[in-house]
Amino acid sequence: MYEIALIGNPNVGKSSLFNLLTGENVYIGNWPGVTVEKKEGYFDNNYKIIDLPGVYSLSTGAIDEKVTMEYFLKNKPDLVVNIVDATTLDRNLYLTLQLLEMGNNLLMALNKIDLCKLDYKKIKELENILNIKIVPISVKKKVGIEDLKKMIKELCKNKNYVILKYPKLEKYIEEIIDILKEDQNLKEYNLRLLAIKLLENDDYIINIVKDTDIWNKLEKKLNKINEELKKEYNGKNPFEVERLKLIKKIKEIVYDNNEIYVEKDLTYHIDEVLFNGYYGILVVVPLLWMLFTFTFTASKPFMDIIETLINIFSNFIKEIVTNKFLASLLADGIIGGVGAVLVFIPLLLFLYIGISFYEGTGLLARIPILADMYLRKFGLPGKAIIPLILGFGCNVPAILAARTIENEKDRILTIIINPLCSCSARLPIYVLFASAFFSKNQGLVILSLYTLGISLALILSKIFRIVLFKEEPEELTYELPNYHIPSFREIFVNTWERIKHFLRKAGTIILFGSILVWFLTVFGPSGFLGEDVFKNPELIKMSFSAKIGEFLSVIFSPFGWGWKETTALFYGLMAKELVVSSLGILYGVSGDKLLNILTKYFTPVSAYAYMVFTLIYVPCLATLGVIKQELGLKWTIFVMLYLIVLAYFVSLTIFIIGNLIFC
Amino acid sequence: MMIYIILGAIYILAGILDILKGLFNYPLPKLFLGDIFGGISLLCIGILYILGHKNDSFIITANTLGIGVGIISLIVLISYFIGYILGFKYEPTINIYLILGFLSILYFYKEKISKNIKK
Repeated sequence: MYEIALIGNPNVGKSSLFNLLTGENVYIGNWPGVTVEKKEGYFDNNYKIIDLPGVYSLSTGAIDEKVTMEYFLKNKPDLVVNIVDATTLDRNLYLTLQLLEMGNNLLMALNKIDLCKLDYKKIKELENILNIKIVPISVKKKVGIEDLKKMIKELCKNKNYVILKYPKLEKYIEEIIDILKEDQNLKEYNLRLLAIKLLENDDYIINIVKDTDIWNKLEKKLNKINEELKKEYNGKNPFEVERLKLIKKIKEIVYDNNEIYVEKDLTYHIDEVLFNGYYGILVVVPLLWMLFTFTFTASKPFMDIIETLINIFSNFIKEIVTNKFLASLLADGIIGGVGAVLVFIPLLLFLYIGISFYEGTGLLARIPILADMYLRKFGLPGKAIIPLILGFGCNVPAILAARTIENEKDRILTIIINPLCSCSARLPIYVLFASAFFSKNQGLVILSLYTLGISLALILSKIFRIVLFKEEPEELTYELPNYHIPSFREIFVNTWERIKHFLRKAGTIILFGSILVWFLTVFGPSGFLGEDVFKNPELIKMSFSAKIGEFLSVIFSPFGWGWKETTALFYGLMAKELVVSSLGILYGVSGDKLLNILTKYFTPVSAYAYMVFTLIYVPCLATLGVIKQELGLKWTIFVMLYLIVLAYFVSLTIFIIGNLIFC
Repeated sequence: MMIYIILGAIYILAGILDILKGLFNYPLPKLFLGDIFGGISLLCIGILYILGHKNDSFIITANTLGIGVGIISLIVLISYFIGYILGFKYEPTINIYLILGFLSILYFYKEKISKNIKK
């Protein structure tokens, strides 16, 4: 079995090539210790392809880069296939040179050859300069794929390890390698790569060797070399200088008049508007609306279908299982819990199709660039725009969409503020209270809540950035691919793999949470209350959840909310929609009667404070499940705590000020 | 003829009406959905069409987005239709987004914008 590493810059067609090479034969997991997807696939049974994350260079800043670096530090693949975008060859070559510096059996797949004017002669010249084999391909048109497969097989059998050496730097690399060889613990590493990164003063790599016995000797040597290189290269990174010098030379030989591709196509026209000062926002808004509508509106009927099927199944179980306790556990607890996950599938399916489409067309690479200048002021990266917008529909897919943010700190920040984007499930609560108390200005009241949510999200992201993360969001490095329509296969393969991943991981915590809420509802101090508890307010009053509501109502007494209102908030943890239905059950009324009865328990000010509390306090179980999946337990607890404190503080402030003004 | 100016004006008008319906529940036909975000999007596309007097890129971009809006509305219509035939409370009706998308497609062919795009 030969191991082949597939590597390239983001948006060069790497995933599409991976799919073309491996077909259905794909396994998706995570890289050890991180939530970065690891894709492995096979072709002709003997060739295992590892799809490494898309990176611009071999560094250790972003999480994706660390994963790639770790791979090359500890593995020696039989062949490295470097996919390169022919239309932006110069920018892609930086990574290629780094791969050659460490010594690899390297094959270049020169993609998008159909879009540029590189002829056979030029490609041969490039082959001679780099001393590697180059196969021109077009992933989109499926041209050259068989040639690439043939070359992969040939190079796996007859390996051609190439080491790119810079004459001025080689002796230093060798001196460092000699010292590294003295430590047995470093044997598992690629010493040449370690040496180069040490000479580049990479902190991540320095930490690897810091605890070894050779560190003192190595540190002295590094200091001495750094002094010499500082003089020689005027304080610049010597490797960067050498790489750029070589790229410039290649450009002069391969390019005609320093240009490789100039044509007024659709990409040219759209980008001319998109990057034309403030006009860009006119393009981004409709694009975001399309993604939003496709995800939330188009998926809705399918969510209803699944919900109905779950209800039918749940009722069927209640009919055939005679033991009432077991029937309630199965139907309300387990099926209800699993159902809570299954209902999200259409939503996620549409979201992932939408995101994969934008990714494939090249739009996903562009939208964050425009949002960057606005969001950066609040400490957020440009890529946070998609999760923020999706959060207004549902926080679950929004948090999963944050996976497109490579930098870990940026991703954490984007996720922890996302619940403040008011999801559509909270809308029925706003509508109910706005109809009951602010019938003449319903629209404005609801709009004020959405504005409050996003304002709090932006202010808090700025505060968290200063207090918790203490560094600026990562600079947006980007490669702009040409616009094109992605293949259906590419979209659906990516979508299905991500859905499977969601079901496997998020399902567990949501299921556990659902059973817990079920238990607290159907049991009380007197024991099992019966399955009618969900319909009968007198029975609910005896449940543990009501007791919790009674206990918590002490905390909410300044607002004048009683146990019923507090218990409804407790049920909102399960799903925000349940706040309205719970209030109906607890008051024993529905429809217009619910509107009337609310005016007895709330004043307009306390009603608005209640809406603000539901806007901010802990998100639903499904959202907590994906936060736990993406960030771990520590951050999930942090999100819960800060949201509860914030909700209480903001609602109370509004309640006090509101009463001072209006009462 | 400067059809793109007329098209831009229609988009802007439709956008404003949809925003008004969304914000203040104006009694407008079902053709308008009251989708504020969608209304703003139509407004943006309308402005892009009108900016077409600067250069062709604005018209091409507005048209591409307009067609996109139409396609999304068609997908929603199909999805609602599926919901409707399965007995759910969905009304698969033609709305302003679909009509405007269709107009953008017509304009695309009429003006043969595609000829201006080499690839």
